[in-house]
Amino acid sequence: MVTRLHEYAAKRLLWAIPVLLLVSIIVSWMVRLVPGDPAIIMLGSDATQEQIMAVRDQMGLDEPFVIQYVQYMTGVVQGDLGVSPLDNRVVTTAIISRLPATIFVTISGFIVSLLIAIPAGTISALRRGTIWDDLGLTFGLLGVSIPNFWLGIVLLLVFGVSLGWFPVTGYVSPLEDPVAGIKYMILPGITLGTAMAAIVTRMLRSELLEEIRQDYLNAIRMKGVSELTVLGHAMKNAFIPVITVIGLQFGYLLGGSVIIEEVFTIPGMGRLLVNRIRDRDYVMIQGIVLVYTTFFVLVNLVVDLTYFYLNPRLRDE
Amino acid sequence: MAHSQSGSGGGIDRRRVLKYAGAAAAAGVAGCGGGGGDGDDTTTTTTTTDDTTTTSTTMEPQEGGTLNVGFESELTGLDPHFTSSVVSWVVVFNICETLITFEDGAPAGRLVDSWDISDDGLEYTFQLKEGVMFHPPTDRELVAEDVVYSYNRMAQENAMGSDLAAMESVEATGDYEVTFTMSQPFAPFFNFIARITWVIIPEEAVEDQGGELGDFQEPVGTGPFRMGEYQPGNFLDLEAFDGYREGFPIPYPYLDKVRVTPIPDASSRVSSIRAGDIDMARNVPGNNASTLQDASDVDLIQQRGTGWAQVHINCSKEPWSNPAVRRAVAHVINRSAIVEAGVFGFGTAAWQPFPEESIWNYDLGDSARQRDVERAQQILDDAGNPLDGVTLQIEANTQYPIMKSTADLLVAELNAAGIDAETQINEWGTQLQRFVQKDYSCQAFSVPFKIDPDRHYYPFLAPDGPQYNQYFEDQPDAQRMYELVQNGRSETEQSTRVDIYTELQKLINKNLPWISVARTDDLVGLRTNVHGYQPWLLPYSRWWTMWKES
Repeated sequence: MVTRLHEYAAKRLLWAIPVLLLVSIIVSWMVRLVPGDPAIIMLGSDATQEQIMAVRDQMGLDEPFVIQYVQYMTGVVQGDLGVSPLDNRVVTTAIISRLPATIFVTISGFIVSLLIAIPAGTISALRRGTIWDDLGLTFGLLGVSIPNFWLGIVLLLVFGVSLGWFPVTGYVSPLEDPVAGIKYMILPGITLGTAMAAIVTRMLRSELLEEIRQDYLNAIRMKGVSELTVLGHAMKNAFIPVITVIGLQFGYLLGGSVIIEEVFTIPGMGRLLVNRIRDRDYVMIQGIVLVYTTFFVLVNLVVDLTYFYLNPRLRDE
Repeated sequence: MAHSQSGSGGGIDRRRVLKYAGAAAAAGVAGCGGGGGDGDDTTTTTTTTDDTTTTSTTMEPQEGGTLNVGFESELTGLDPHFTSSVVSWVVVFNICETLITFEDGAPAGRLVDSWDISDDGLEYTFQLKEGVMFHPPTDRELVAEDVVYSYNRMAQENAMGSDLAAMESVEATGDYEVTFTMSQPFAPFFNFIARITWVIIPEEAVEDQGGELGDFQEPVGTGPFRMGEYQPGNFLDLEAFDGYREGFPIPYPYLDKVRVTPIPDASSRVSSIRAGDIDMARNVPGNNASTLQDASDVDLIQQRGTGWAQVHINCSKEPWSNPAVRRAVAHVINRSAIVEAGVFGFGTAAWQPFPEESIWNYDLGDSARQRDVERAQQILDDAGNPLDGVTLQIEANTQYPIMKSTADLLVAELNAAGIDAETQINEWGTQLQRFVQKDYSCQAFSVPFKIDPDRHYYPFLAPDGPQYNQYFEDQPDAQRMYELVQNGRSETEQSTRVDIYTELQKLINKNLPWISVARTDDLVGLRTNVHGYQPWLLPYSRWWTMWKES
């Protein structure tokens, strides 16, 4: 049975197509606007003009932009994101091999942030004006103020180098070795998740403060239920706007993973993107940005659907 | 008289080389002549610790184990004849082999026993070592036809075509004999063939991987290590090749495996070696060096003079086209301050590319312009103050600290001398493009040393080259400088070439198409339980001589 939820999801997915098309045009165009000839960067200052011309020809850089774009998109719609001229790697293969690491980093940041934010925001709201509230507010301020690359290096020095509790750099897939994989993900997760935790803590605190003042909670209490059940009702309503923030922040976590991957030496898409921007590897950059955009669109869709599901008023309309 | 040499000393008696390299390194007297390039090349090696030398000669090397090496960036392509990535060269250096190499400053055979160069410099004949095996899956002996195939592959335009332009033919004149015929004398050729990427590979392995230039991403060679598991961005394993010169007196390589892990962030790389996650950290920046110097379980290895910093000038652009402006700026520059700020003292002020220990180091007499601000002002006064109302722009980037420091300090010194100047910061790729397209006025720059002086001079000055410095005929001594770069190529007698480049460098210091600033060092972190490190001419480690104390 087709429900309004299905219709809504289908409509949103269709909207993703023009978004991705637009992003592909903008990215393909902008990377070519950035100064720095890929052939020159690849060959270095010792290259002769003939060498540069030969490599440019091989890369197809002398074709007009429209031709380059159409050729590229013809491949993309067939699932072919191209081949990197730098190392002959098929872009799709390179991305597939890097994607799991980026997803694990992002998810670990997401989990860490919720593990911190939900108890901190709740306690802060329920113990308003106490030392716990002050601590929650201070964390909320510090969390968004500390640059995550700095936090990452400090965590590395303290817990990796001095205490030796965690490996300093490297990556083991949690799918291959769950224990080692999780160990490698803890520091990156904390580094990535701290800012989001701070934002969600503040948001949850303020929403919960608003909610616990509502009369309907007293009505629930009069039914003789426990305070935990009352809190459950308050939390469910407080979470509706918080979900939106969490969804948006998840997108930012994806972006933030670029820096975390660099600091913790995680072989994810973000690090590949940074390297290839430096090398002006157009095909690889375009492919990675398209994948990031697709993820962002999908995450937003999931958030909207969750919002739709949690908010009875939207469902009923 | 033909120049005949035996390369067997460098190739077979590795124990002697081990000692000599260590001694040379400790004494600060190392090689010269080359390195691999563009990555090629260079010269002197010195270690700040004597650990490797001492332990190598007093402790019995142990076999087995894995050496974990932290790289400064990810590998970008492994086809030896196509990649231009420095870190890829390090890997290639340990997997594939060149015909010759350099040991203690002299050419030595790597895949050849001996060679002969004809009197007219037009014919080079190499006798290959017998019994040299390719890695699996090729698993056969290297023969002369492999050299012919490899050099024809390199001669393609988008590979090393321009460097091999003078090569008329390469022929197998026997199973183990190869003859190169040149269309004209080209002296740098002999040094070029020691460049890291000029390696011999088997045709069938290339065909199996696609056959085209750039396709050979899982290199098969004859070197001490063969390619193991590769997870791009995560790690690359090199495994000891059991068939490496069987019967060889030293059981190279000692290690079972080398694992290369890219750790681009320098602080993370240093933290990793301190925590023991890696055994060796490449390319330690000067600002992180003190951290390793203070660590009790890590040694800092300093390899001197592997980079050369200059200020490049476009001599066709106003006001730089005026020789007086260039001369004045050359007297203002404060080299020692740049070395301190840019590489934290790990380098030396320099007026020429090659260091004192190199055969290519020239006696410049008094042609080197020393810092003398009054003299600079006098030169400008005499020239009618061509910089009045002019702001000089010095381009640099933030990726390479030495370039940024050179530009910043030069600007500060110029301002202090009453000359308006400012730094213009670009991203490195942008700066490089502006340089190659000659769309710049003045740039702080840095390059690795070249295996042959020709590469330091020809592309920058010769009228039939790109002429990056746009030093045209209207500039002082231009014709003579053109003749000298040309003679440096066609003259095959080394001592005469030294004389040629000495005169050329003097003229460069006089007329300044560029200003030489400093030679910079390469720093490597090494755990104290790792031994046998032998610096080569360039910062490319020979992992096959290294071993780990269990």
